[in-house]
Amino acid sequence: MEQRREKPRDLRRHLIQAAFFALTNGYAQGFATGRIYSGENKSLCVPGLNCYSCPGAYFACPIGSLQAVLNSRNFKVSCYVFGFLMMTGALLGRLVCAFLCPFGLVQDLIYHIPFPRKRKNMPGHSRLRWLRWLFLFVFVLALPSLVRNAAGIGKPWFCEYVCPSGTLLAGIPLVALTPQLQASIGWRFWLKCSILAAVLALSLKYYRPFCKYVCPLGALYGACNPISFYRFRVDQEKCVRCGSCQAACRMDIRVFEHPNSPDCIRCGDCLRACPTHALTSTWQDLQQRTVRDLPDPSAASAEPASALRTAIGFVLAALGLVMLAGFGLLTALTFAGVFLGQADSYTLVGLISLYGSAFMDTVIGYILMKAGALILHGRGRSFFALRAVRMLVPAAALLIITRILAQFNANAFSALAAGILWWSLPIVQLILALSCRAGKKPAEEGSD
Amino acid sequence: MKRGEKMRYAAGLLLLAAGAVMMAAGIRNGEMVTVMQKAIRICMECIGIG
Repeated sequence: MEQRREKPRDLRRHLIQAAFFALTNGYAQGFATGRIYSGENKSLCVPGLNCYSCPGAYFACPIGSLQAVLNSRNFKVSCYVFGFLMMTGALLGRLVCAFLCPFGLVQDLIYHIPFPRKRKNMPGHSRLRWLRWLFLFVFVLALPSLVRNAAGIGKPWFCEYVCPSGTLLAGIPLVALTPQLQASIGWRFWLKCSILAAVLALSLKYYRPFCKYVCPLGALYGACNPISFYRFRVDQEKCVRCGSCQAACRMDIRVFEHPNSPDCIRCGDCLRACPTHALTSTWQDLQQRTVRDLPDPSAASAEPASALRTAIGFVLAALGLVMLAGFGLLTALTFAGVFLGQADSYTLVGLISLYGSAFMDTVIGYILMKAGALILHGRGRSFFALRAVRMLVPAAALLIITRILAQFNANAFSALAAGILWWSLPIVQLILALSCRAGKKPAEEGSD
Repeated sequence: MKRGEKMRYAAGLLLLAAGAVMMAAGIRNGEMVTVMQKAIRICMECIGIG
């Protein structure tokens, strides 16, 4: 029997998954009334498998959107959705599966339930893992494009006959909330419920069976894993090929040989399990590189403190604290306002700007406070020399351009600007996380 | 940076750029409207009724 225990890393990951789920499915009014959100956000896709008919969904599912465009009369290919998937794949690869997919979270949580003889893989794993390509090519691409009715309109085959995520997030809640739908259910609904029940039952014993064998989105992102910007690296000089990484990996990958395997969902269990720290992620490499940029803190603190430095540090720290508290509260209130059902009154750009502005101002407040505190400790120069802080300049420029474009209210420009802003938020979060390291001395600095 | 890593980095950059161009082309063609029209109505097929 495979030995498992709840790990702090799992908890952190589940918190991120839950937060992202709440953020993208927070339309509480939908769950109360059985009606779905119909604002302009619905023209944007989320990275994970998240049905747009879920009563709480603010955004569209990429697989559903892909089929919707392919089976329409007006288009033969979907540049918009493929472009979105290519960009997400190039940046994150299957990191989306581990951190941003609601159905991944459901399977993860079910796998934590104690059950005898837990296994990582189903019997015939090596052959079954190719099935997800079959689902992608047949149910998502070929059938919706080729099989059409007399009016020239096709069907979303994967959504209609397979997707258990849609059944769980949309089918069951909507049928439960709407008497008219209850009267209309037929064999297809029960077929989808059976598929969902089978996937959930299998998730008790096997780790993420849907992601391993069925998910077409996982197949697409997996193909991007070997070239995505977020990747794992093996230091061959440190690696002793002990197999600890594979033992920890619940996707059962020989990580020391294939760190960027298409099956890897980037949960990071292998990084923690490696006894020689031979495995690193892009995230860890970036953090390490940033910490190395810092000069020796003991030399910096040896400088005599001047009244001017103290005054500047104090003013910056106080201003940052006020901004952090004020705009942090505003961000929270903005989210709360949207969750309470005010979202319909905002336009797409308005809603994203609202989130983005308050969030950005909170981040700037934090950075100012941090800078002030470091100046007070005589380390201000080292903070502003950080690559991470210099990265803030293009992010701020991007935000200003986005806001100017939004003023023109031209649809294409607004949509592009909203997309850019959408992607700039994780970048700002990255800067924030990196700047958190500014006050720490690198562990290996002495050995360099 | 090793040659293999450079190639992978270039491929990632190319994929990102191609994705951005395709997304812009899709928006220009009006695909966003099609996605939105589908997403703002309850998808009967998705819930197994239609």
